[in-house]
Amino acid sequence: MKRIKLTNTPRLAAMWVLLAVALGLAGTLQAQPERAADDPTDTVRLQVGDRSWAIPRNIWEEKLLPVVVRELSDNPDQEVSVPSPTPAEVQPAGQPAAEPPQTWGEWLKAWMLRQWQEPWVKAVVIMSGLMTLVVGAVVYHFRMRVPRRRRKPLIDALAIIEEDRPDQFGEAERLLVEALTAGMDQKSVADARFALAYVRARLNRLSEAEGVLADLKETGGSDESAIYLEMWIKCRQKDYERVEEIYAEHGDRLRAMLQTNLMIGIAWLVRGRKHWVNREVQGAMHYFDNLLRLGVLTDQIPAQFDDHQVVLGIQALFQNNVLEATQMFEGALNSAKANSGSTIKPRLGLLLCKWRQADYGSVDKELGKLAKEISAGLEQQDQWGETICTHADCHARHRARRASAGQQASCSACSRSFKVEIVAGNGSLATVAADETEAAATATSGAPRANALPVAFDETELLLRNVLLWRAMALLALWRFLPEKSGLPAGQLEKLCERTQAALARDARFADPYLIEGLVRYYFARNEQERAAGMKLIEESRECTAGVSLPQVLNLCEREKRRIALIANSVQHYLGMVKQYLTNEAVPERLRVGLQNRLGRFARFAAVNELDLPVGSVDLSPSTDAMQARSQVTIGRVMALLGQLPAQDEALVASVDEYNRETAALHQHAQKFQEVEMELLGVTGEVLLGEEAGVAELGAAAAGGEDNHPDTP
Amino acid sequence: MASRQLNRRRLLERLEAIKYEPEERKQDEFEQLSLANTLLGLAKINHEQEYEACRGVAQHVLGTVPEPSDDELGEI
Repeated sequence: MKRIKLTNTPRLAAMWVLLAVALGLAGTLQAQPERAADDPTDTVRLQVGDRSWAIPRNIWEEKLLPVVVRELSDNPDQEVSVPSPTPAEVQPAGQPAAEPPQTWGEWLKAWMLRQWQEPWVKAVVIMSGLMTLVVGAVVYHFRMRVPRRRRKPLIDALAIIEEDRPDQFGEAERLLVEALTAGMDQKSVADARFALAYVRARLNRLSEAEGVLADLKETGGSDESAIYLEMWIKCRQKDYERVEEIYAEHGDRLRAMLQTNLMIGIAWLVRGRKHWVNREVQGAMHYFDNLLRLGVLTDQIPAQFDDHQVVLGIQALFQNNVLEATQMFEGALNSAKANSGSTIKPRLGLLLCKWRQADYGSVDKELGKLAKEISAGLEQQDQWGETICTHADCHARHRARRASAGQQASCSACSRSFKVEIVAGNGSLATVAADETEAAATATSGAPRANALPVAFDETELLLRNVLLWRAMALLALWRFLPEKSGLPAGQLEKLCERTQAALARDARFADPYLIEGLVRYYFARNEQERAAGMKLIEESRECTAGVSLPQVLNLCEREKRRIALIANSVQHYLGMVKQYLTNEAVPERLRVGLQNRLGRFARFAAVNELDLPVGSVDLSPSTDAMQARSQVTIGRVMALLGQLPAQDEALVASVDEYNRETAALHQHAQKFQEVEMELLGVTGEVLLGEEAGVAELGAAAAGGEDNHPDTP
Repeated sequence: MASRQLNRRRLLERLEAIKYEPEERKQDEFEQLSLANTLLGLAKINHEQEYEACRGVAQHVLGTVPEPSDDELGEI
């Protein structure tokens, strides 16, 4: 049996109604010839004496005229007695006859009255009514009851959703899935799909919700709300590229909706930041400009964005494009001057370009000025407060300038950046709260010890610290232009230390100044004490935040420790060295015996003195290379054992000097020997090979002999 | 009694509010292009450079780098 589709019922009903109307019209047309007799406007005027009546023609013809005719035919001479018409039949005397209908309404009414008199009309009307009732019932069934039954799961699900009961959303989801297979109309299906996507989104099943929205879109049931929901899902999934695409396509429709601006703002910010950290400044600028126009999350735009020319300069320097960097920094400098802004960063950028071009002299001079300017600016912001690192695993307390609130600062404990929020305190650097231990110590001693909390490095503080370190490096760079092997001019070491200490005054846990000062003190030490002081600073640099872990430095520290240990055990090491000497057959026996006799008077030499020297063996003549190598080893070890040579021991000084002289002489003799050797070989060759003719004769003579064996004279 | 008509806009209002939560690691990277952070890197100042600069100066000014040599520290 063919099922009647719900959508066909209106057509069916319309067909029935049209049929009824058609029947009615047909009846009307059939009755048309008789209509004139029934027309109430068709009247005859009857006058008897001075009285007159307006009588409808049909009444006159049907009721009155037969009476008149009968009376006249029966009694032609008699006066006709006409029965008085009833009030309903007769227009009252003295009044005008009924007017013809003036309006369509009146005409229709009169027409209907006339039609109703016809029996077939009544039949048609009754039939039409019945048919209408049947059609209505059909329509009601298919249009109301069936859809309602099919929509019931949807309605129940909507009830759950409407009451916002997330614990029942699982049931709502089940009902919606059921509703989608119940054969609902298109709009209900679209509603069910939207509701299903919504429920799944609320249940944090975002991918499934997204799939339902895709079905909704495919079937044309998507609207702004569905698009917004998709955007919300994509935002939760952090698929910001898709969020941006949705906004680009439907931004006009979505702009005024709920959190649309925030969602697209987040997408732009994230994508801008991605460009930013990849140093794609142009791309970042595009997104940050969009954010500024939109007016959301503008506080999340990096502060450096305002100085984007400086950033472009930095980017160019990272790409080793000094020329472009110079242009960018010059542009930034001109803009700053035009806007009466700070010129510090552009000037520093230009100095970086000069530094890259090895123009150290002008860099050193200009850096001093800039350091003073930055420092002076900071001194004007001498209101300090307390802040806390926002990282959950850190929460280290710091002191920070109140003016730096809202800026990014570097945590001294975890080295990560955090947003400064002043949580307590208001005063100078020295008076802002110390930690509890310090507070207790202050209470006990009465002395203010407020320097316990480290300083949070905001942008300017960090800039100054780094500029001060750069100054120290600039001085080192200038030392490379001193005359070679001329020693360090007076006052230069103190000048360098002044600069490293200035950097340390900004950050006591800064490894680099410790390393520079330590190395310079170590290398330029005049005695063991100065050398030890230098090494102590180098060791300090390893203990700092981001401490030095350079293999070369670690190796230096290790070797220095070994050297110190060597000095501490110098006697033992010396005796070992002598023992090695005495048993070395490459040393002539008379020398070894002489040394043994010379040291035999010392008690600590007794253990070595008991050695049986390889007496009687033939002295081996050492090679020149072996002698040279031995001389270097010996002097090196002696110097290591003695540390710095005691200037007061003249005999030792004289001995070392003599050893060095002889070593040098040996070296010279060895070189001279090699030259003489080469000369000897050269002269011999010239004698043997130099005279072409003589050589030719010698050859011919040799060839002319009977026996040309090479050994034949 | 629940409405039989779905008010989509009203449902959207009940969605969990979107909030901006900066990612911490990215935040650090975010500051990479500040001049304060990049100054030393751009000037190529780092521990290795500092060590080499001090050593180079000693070599240039003193003619030698007074570090403990292998000869000094060799087994005796």
